[in-house]
Amino acid sequence: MLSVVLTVIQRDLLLAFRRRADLMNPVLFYVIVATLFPLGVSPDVEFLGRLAPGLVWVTTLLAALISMESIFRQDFDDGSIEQLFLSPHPFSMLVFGKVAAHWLITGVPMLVIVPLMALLLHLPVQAIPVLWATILLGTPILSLVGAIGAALTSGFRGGGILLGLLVLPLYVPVLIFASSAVSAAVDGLAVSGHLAMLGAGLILALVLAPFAIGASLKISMS
Amino acid sequence: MWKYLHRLSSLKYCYEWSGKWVPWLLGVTAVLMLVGLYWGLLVAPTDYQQGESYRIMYIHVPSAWMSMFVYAVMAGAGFVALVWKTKLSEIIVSECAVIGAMFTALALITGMLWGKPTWGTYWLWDARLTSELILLFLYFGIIAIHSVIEEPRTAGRVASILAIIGIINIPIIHYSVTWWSSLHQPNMQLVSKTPSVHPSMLYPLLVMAVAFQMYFVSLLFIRMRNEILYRERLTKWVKKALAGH
Amino acid sequence: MPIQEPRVLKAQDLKCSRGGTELFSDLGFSVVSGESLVVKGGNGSGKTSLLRILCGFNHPAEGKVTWCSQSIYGHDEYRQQVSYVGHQSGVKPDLTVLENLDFMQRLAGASSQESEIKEAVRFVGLFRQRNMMTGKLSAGQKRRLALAKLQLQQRIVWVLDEPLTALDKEFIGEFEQVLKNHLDNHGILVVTTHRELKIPEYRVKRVNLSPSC
Repeated sequence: MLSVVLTVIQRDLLLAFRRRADLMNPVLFYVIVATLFPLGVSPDVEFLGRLAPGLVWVTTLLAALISMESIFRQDFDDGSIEQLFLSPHPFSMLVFGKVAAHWLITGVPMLVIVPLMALLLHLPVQAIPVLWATILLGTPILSLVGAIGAALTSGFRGGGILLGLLVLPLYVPVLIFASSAVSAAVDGLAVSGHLAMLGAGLILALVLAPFAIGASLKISMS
Repeated sequence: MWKYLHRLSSLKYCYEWSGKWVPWLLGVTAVLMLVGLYWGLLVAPTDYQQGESYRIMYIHVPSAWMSMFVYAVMAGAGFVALVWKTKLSEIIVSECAVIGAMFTALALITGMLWGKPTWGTYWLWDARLTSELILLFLYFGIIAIHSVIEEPRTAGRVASILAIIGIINIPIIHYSVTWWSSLHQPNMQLVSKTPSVHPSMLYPLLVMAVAFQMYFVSLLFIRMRNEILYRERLTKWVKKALAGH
Repeated sequence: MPIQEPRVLKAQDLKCSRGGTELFSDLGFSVVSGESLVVKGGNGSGKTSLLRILCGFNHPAEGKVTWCSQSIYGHDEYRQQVSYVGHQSGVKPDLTVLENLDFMQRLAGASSQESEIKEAVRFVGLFRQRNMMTGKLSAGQKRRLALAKLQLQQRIVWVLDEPLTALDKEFIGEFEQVLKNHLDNHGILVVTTHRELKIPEYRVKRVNLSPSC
């Protein structure tokens, strides 16, 4: 069971590695959008610092959203989805492998780039470890929930635009708990409650999402 | 019982059966609305704090209740659609999305109108308004599905999955938004929008709530019948039914 | 060779519609092991839809498909007996020929030795290209790669959508031999094709999907 998940991860990582140029896209997107905020709002150090927890997380949400669009696209185009369906392994496990690989490709770079951009946006340094923890707990939720939306829309023309409408409202709790945790850390308040909520959300998503993604893919396939 | 349910799931039978109910439902809705509105707007006493403006509650509160109730109906129908693959429940999902969005929009608009005299502004990022807005987005997503996916059966199943995911998420979203708002507006002195309701104000509200329920069922039946005719437009019974008119 | 109990793939009263128009209805047939079903019909007559229904990807609007008198939907055992080669066959352009087959095998739950995979590659005439990226292969070579999978997986039901497209004459002959062997080994074949396949007539059943008018 575990070995098949690892096989899917291995295949998708290899494919991503062969298309290295695409790997940078979410990261570049993140850097560019984060750069827009000082230009659009104000370069004032104190002002930006107060907005920073929200800004970095809104940008993370958007970067996660645009990266989701491609998770199943190629598998639909080249017929791999059908072949996975005919595999004797549980469909939800295969799909879980795909989401895990996708998170490794798009989520892990966020662990580096988000704290970096947060510092450029003058987020106080003492909040960085908490920011890091929220990314670690939050981005897998974004990948799991986003994959449901991607699974529902990848099989159809024009599905990409729909994805944002379907997925962003579901991202709201992650945004709230994650950015509140970072804000609390800036103010020197306790953060364990917020992080616990994110952790609970992650467990819930890990348990339920693979089945929802599997069922959604089966519907989109037809 | 099962036989009866099975017959109901036949679109033709459902079309004929619901046709008998529509006039009655519309009649009951009209009577209840008139009674509720007359009672609420003219008979119920003036609020000592908010004056007359509180009376918008008689539209606002029932539509806010309905916005969530319709979502629950939609998710229930979605569950039935996925498990038993009945066409009728898929139709109910798509029609509920439109009706639910309408109630949600009504709740938002009346909420904003009520906000002006009580808060001094049309919009505040108040917990209830915000989660109502997100609920509207969830409805929009489900409505949009039908414009992207042409095959109605596939669209129906996708919408059903979304409805179920939504119903799991609505409490989480609602809780997180409530918590968020309590975090950000600890010192704001607001007049609470829902006055502690005196029975003389409560009864008309309950009448309006029932009227809205009836209105929902009537709308659902009318829209459902339309959709049935459209989906079955190539069958003999529809051609015959339409030729009669 | 032990006598296998005959397996039956059976369809009853199938109806399929796409975008509001009916493609076919009241379609029924049964195929037992050792037989092939050749599906004919014009463009847009629903050949691919029928094949996808038989694989369990799509649901028919009405009717049912059974495998050994059990519905194929949610029938895990059946799923593991089907090989499908369609217009797109799950071949990743950014993997080499060998990598593609290796991942396909592992995901299909089969543990093939490297030598077996190489043997299959040699059989379809791609041995020289074994370490080339699949995206660089010609259409016919990609198709051969997809067909190599059939040899490797050794499943019972082969569902092939226009398998001969882009193949050269020489390879078609060899491939027909493979199909014959598969049938001799109690396999089942469901195929759409514009060309006549050289398969003994007593092993062939035909379904004609008339173009909808």
